[in-house]
Amino acid sequence: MNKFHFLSILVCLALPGLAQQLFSPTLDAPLEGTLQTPEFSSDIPAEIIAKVDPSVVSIQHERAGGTGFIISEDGYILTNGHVVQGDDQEDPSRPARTITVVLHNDLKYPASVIGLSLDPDVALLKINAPMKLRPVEFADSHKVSVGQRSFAVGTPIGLRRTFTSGILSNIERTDLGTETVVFQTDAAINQGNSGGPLFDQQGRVLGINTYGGRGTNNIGFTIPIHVARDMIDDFKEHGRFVRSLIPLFFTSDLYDELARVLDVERGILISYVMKHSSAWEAGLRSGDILVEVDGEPVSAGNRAELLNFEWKHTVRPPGETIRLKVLRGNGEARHEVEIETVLEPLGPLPQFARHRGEIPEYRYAFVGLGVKSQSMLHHVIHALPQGVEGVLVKFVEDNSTASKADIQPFDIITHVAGQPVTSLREFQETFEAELQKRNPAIEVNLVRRKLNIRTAIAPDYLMQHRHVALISASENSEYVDLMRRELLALGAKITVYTEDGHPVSRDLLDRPLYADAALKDLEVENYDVVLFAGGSGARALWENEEALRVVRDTIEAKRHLAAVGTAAMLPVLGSPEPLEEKITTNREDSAIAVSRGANYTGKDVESDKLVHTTTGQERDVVREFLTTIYQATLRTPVR
Amino acid sequence: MNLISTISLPRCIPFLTAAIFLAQGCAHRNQKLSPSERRVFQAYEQAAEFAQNRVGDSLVHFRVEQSAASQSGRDRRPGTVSFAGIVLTEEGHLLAPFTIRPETTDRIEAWIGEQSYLARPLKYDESVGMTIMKVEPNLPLTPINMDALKDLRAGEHAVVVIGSDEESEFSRFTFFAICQGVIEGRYRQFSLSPTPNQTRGAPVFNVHGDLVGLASQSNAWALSDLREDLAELLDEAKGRTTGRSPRNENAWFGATLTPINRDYARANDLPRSALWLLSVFEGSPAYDAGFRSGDLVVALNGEPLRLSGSRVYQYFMQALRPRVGAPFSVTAIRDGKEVHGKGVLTLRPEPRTLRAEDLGISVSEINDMLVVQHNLFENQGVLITEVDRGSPAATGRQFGRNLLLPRDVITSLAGRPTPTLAAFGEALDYIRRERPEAVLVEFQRGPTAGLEALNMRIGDRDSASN
Repeated sequence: MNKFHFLSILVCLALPGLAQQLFSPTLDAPLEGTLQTPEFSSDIPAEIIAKVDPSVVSIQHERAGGTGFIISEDGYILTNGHVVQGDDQEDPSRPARTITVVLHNDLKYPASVIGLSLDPDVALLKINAPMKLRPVEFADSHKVSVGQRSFAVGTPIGLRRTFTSGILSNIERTDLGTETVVFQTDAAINQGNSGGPLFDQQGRVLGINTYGGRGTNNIGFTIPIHVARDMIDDFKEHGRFVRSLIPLFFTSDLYDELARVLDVERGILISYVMKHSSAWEAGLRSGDILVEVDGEPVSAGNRAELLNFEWKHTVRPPGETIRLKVLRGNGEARHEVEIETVLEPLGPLPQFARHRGEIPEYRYAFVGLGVKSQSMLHHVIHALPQGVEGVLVKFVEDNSTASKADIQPFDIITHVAGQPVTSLREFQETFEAELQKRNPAIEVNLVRRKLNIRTAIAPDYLMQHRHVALISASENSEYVDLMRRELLALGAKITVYTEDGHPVSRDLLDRPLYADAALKDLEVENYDVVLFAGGSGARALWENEEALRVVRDTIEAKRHLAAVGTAAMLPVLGSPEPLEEKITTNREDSAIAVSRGANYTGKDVESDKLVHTTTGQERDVVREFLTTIYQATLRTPVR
Repeated sequence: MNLISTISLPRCIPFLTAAIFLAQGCAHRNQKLSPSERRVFQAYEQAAEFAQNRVGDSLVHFRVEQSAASQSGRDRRPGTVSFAGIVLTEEGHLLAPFTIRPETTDRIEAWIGEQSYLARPLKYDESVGMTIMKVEPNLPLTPINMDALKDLRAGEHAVVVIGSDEESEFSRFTFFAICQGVIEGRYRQFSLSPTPNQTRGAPVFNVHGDLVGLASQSNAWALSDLREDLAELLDEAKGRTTGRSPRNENAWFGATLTPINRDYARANDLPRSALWLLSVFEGSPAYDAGFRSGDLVVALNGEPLRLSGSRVYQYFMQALRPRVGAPFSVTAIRDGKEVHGKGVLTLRPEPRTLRAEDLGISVSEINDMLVVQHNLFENQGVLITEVDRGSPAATGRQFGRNLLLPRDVITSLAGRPTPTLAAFGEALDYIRRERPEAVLVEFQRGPTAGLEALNMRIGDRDSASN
């Protein structure tokens, strides 16, 4: 149903939340909290401890760690989203890279992230263990009461298998600006408890421990387990949590004063309906009072009731028909209106409040500009002008070409070189066509709030006299689009080759990347740089005669030979003489490289004379690699 | 206030200058000088003499005793600073080379010759950072003669003269500098080779004794560019009724300006010293002169704009000399053709405001400028400018979350539409008359709208809280 919860989002946006100031995910909380054991009248029976202990795991990765718990024998694990989130700016929904799960008995397993959300702060992981695992038992978190005993198990400040206990201090906490109500407990919840379970006295999971009060004592917050369970199927099916709604309207609970002035006892106020949205087209209007959904009376007299109502409909399957009854008008003019419509799936979320966003950015780092698609929610969240078609500026690097053009985040780019760019695809095509022409000043029209601005991007085209042959495997190639895009931004002339000249992998916009020619037609004399893209598909090139011939020719013609990740083995394999130059490659291939006598250094980027290699493990490493290639070309004459 | 950022050391002046004099003296006495060398030294001596004669009794030596409280920044401590100045009128108007606000509590002494006076700031101009000071002399002072002003060329010598107090027996000190180039702007500056800090505000001459400028930090303001503005500032300081209103105070052109991007200008063959009119407000002088959003301003008062980037904006504002009633003529480019428009700057319209203490808010009417400034999505309403803590408007269901927020636009109050401030006032009257327990407020917040009900039984109804 609608994003009822956007009311809370609105409040958060407007007043940079009290909640955000007071509370933070426990992972980020300072260490100063002291562990305090509340008084309790009875011990937790040994059999309960024995029951829950094997189900709780600790989680570690390259950035941080936390706690989780096993929910199935075959290795599904629930934790918080923030425990496993990555820090990829361009793809914020991407999780951390190297997640390890440590079981209670110290066994370690690599884990993959099946789905991840930051609000509700829930993630589903999967490990493949050779034995059956002990899943937790779930409590019914709809049926809880304040004062009920509870205990937490987790890894506070890295201390595995720590048990702390208390009571449920509140069961309908809404002050944190979260999408659902959360439980409050006085069981000690510290940094590292995040993602761990809160159990009831019978050892059944009540919820996922998530937030701690910063600078407070024994104020911890727990996401009710029914919320997490509602999300599991979506994670498994779509890799993300898909909300159902009728976009776009906001709701408010009918608190005492509101009920009085509106002269209504029960219901939910529809405080805003966006014009021409699905909700509007379905017939909803601002000021309507929702009294029935699918024949059932609905009402919310406080925020907790409102959030519970919203959640109930948010997790319905998209596509379901929904019937609403609203009251419209005042006094004698008040009448009932019946509305029937369909729940829509909500697309990827932009960044706001606790959400890091799910919309990938398309970045031209050598211009210093990152853009992304606009959504209806962007308009609402960032107060963007209505009805302006274009792409949203997400990122502008300081002192870059884009910042010199005075482009700013949240500008909407409407035209490039006089052409309207209504979608990211159009932007990409038009902008790259101008880069390809090496237009010294690419005109850009922007809308910034209420202002229309004309400016021009003047790229430096540092590689404008260089011709690069970019070679990709036909399948499973990585960063081809990224390298093509960034080399264009550097002004290089690019010819894309594949083994057979057929299109290669798709880009972020799901556009196939066209190859210009087949590998057999590559004559290295025509190029300054011969660049092999990486990805697991590049392994097929190891034994490809043409690829090895190109490597040999490149070395003999004294051209720059560059290779990424798996392809970084090619200089070793194709060199007519044992390769003297230092190389690097990804970790999996390093042993083979060493066994073939390669001078392997293991650095992110290695550049030795005319041979340049990289592990290619991240976008920014690949960009650093391209910079290295550019700098290396400065040392060789222009053909 | 922080009068001067650099604390000068008056004691070092005699040593510095003595060193220079000694050096010159030694050389002068050197009998082995060739005739041409001797001529060089004679030329220096002559230039110094010309300058000293020309400045006559118009040289001012300011000494400011700063209290700790008058300074900003971390390093607050009382101290004395000195700088130079010139006499502008017989009745005691002096020019000081800093912005000194009238409310300063610093003791400012002005030494003119061997006489010391207590000086008070009368009028300052922030755009050039100068202040007209006033002393009460017993006898008429000798104003500096600004009739024949010259400019400095790059490579030309300049002579800077400063005075002193009894510590160095009221000496005059002379510094030679070389003009290294000219810095463009509405007020040009001659870039000078380094002179001590204390020369700031001192008159700068060429080698012929012609007045050229006033020493600033490491440059000299071109007096020929400043003269007219100084005269105006002096008039204002004297409280002379010139029929013109004071500068900068709410003079209104009525447009949002932004510099053209240099690369855009080059690509489109447009001047790089130009300003876009991004929004021209209806009814403003710019609008009435015929300008519209999207025009590109290239000339003001018959002169092409100069500089580029943010400095062209600064140039435009200085050249506009904003004052209510000041005429302007602007040339802009629209669709590749030049358009000309003339007008007179008017008083910036101030939106009317209303304080609704019953609700705990202050509101203002909405005009086009506020719509742009606050990115409003609704103009048929009243804009909340303040929300009082503890008031009905501030007290929501959750601690710390106000029901209404600054920048909300109220579109209806107690069921009555409030498209104007008057309509809002009427709705407020209704509330005061009927004293309802709760009041419904409809508002626009950013691109979305909302509804809240305010509890009118809470809050401090008798005083303006906060």
